[in-house]
Amino acid sequence: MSQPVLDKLRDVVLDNRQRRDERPSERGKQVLVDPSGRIVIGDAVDDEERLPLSEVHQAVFAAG
Amino acid sequence: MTSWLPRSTVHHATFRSGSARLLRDHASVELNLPGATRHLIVDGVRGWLYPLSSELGDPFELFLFFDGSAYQVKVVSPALSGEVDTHACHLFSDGRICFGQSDGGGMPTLLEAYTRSVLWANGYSVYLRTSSFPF
Repeated sequence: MSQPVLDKLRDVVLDNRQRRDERPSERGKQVLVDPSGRIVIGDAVDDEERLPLSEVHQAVFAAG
Repeated sequence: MTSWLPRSTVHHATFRSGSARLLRDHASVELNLPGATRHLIVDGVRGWLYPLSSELGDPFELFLFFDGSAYQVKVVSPALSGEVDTHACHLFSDGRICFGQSDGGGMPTLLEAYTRSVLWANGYSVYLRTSSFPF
């Protein structure tokens, strides 16, 4: 479990939102989730490793 | 020429949309959600309870369900204390995660709700330590 992953996650999500790109095509801008709930940034895995991963829609959360 | 007799007949009814959605959702849960996910009916609401652990190691239990128009995720644990600013954490007062402005705060598909809930859980872990939701 790591702070670096969270730091990278924050940078990627905020950058995509600034560019209004909620479903980026660039791998390094994609946020993926594995079936155990772990976060993976898109450029950290190859094609085969991506198969069980699901992409996160990066839209802004709203206030409740 | 031999006569042809049908061995069985097919009932030409279609699946109700709710049944089809449930089948599709079960398949999605099998493939994409944690192995410990449980299918439950709580107070008449059918959904899936699943455990998560954030990157900072905080445990969560979340309940994902279809509310008739969108998929919602409710935080079961940790308990949300009165000190938590639900507005800042993107939570409704009933403990549901507010994913966005449309669909009553829900998501159009089960998978999108699940993946967004993982993102939210990691944001909430940071909020607990910094009082600021990072994304």
